[in-house]
Amino acid sequence: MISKEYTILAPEGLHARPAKEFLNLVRQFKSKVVLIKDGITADAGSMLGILSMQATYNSKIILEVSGEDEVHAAERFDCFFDKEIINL
Amino acid sequence: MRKGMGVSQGIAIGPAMVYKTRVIELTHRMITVNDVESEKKKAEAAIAGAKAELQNILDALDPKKDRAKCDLIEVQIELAADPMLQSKVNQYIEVSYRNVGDAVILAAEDIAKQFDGFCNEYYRARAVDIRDIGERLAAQAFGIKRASLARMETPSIVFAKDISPSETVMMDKEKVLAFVTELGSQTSHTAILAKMLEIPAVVGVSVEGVMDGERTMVDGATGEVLVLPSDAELATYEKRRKNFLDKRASLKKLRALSATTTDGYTVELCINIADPRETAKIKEAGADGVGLFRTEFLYMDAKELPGEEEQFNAYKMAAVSAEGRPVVIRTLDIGGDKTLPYLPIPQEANPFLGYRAIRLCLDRPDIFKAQLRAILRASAFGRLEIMFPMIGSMNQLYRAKQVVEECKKELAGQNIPFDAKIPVGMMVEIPSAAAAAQLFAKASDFFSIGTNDLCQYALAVDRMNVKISDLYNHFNPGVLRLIRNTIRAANEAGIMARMCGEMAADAAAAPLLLGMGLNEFSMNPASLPYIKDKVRGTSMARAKDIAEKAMEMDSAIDIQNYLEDLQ
Repeated sequence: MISKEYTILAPEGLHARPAKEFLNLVRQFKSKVVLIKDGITADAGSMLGILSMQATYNSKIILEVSGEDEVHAAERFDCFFDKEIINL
Repeated sequence: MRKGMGVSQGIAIGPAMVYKTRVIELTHRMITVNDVESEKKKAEAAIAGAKAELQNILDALDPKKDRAKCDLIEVQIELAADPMLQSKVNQYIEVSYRNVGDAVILAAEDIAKQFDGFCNEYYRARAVDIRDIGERLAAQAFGIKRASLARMETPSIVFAKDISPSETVMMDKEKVLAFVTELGSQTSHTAILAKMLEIPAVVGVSVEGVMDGERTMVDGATGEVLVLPSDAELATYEKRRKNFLDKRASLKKLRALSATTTDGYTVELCINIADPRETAKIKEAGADGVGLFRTEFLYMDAKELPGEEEQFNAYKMAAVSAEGRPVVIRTLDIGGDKTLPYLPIPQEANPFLGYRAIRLCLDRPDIFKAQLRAILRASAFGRLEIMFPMIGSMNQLYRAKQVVEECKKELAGQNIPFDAKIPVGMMVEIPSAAAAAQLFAKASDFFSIGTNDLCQYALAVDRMNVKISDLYNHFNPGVLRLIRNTIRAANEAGIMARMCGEMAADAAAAPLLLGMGLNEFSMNPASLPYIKDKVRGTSMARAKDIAEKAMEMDSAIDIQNYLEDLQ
């Protein structure tokens, strides 16, 4: 399992377009992806799960990726949360 | 008369159309163990049906033009097929033997309730989307057509408990005259949409007992809603409506124009705000930026001192949404008369002359630094300026600027970006500072004259005291001399001369201030078009004459009469 912390850089937070794009990414991999924020866990494969994180701008979330393609997936999420999300 | 909260200005008169969102109710029809599999199949069909329905809406939208709407519908599609919702639905079918329609309503309600409890307003509002998707699925399962705003026959005022986002997207916008809803807030879908369409909206008002087709009237400014009005009431509202539309039309004409005199001299007109969301009003008012951002709201609405992060978010929002226009942020102006529960200040005999504003901030570097760091960090995202209130001595100005420099150094050390050239200026509201403006002009990047306090301090008049309130007049020759001196000092030093008090919104004072050389007027957004109109109607040469004449007069009343009679 790979666990990483990210700061949400999308000015409006992780919802609407950023949430949708993230969900699409999660689906590209076989690995199970779990979100953790303030001790609460949610399934990253669910829009409701993502929204229930209330990940506003500048908040911190932890991503846990586990499965056969976890290394590739984690790299892809790095790129998403560090760069792509800003311009969505 | 019913009264709610007006969230979008305007007046509408027309027949009511009562939109019932809750047409789908629980049937309480139980299933047997034998039906479980077939009900689960029906649930899958309902999801497919709802997705197809939403896809149809999506296909009709232009992804370039309606980007936000497309995002909204795409999220709805995700919600319809959400695994979390689906497993809850299956649970209701398998464990509680609920029929598929009841199961989706109950499952959506369970999840929506969880969102209801969220503290972030935006995420809390998603509960509406979730209930909406529950009803869409139930309608599919029951084979019911939902009431729709897409099929309105005559232009009407829509009365509803609440209006779902997907419904507002499909709505026939030509036919909606106004919205009246029981639920909602300033930031709800309905309010935002109404403002965009420039139609009135009132939220937080009961729609109980309103019947389809009944004549109704809505005032989106006052929040008044009338059902079956009398002829007299109707006449009053018709007149109000006409005035409003005339005003809006003339306002719009001015919006895109600059505040330029007939001889080509341009001044800046800005707005005063107290909440970062109000930056939207820059465009509405046709302003050049924000001349005064009062930051007290961040402190007043809080239970404890707001942290750097929270403040940063607010200032950044203002910086970004001002779209490159300047935003002047005034640092905390709090004291004896406006105390905070978490920041006890002992009662003072003269709070206006007491421990407040910059005096308090210089004494409490923890509070001051958190705010300055937040402003500096936000300055990387737009054009921010820092303004200190109640500066009364050069020593205070130097010390305050020193703290700004310390914060800059810290941020640079942490590799956090900020605008290294951020302008740092001061309010001129203490008479001694106005009198010595030449000295302050050497150390300040701009002046902003706060006429309310300046007037009160210079005239020794408490303007809240009704017995002497007639003594309070910003046209007092002594006050005008302080103002003139401040503007002159700024002009000579080559720094901006701004004004952010009530006087800047006084149309009669505009030519006088213009003639004195004021560069920027900052005021409430509603007054801005009037000042712009006044500036555009005069020449700089004439304004200088007017200022000269006014300064020769020896009483406030004479000056006021002279200025008000000018055409």
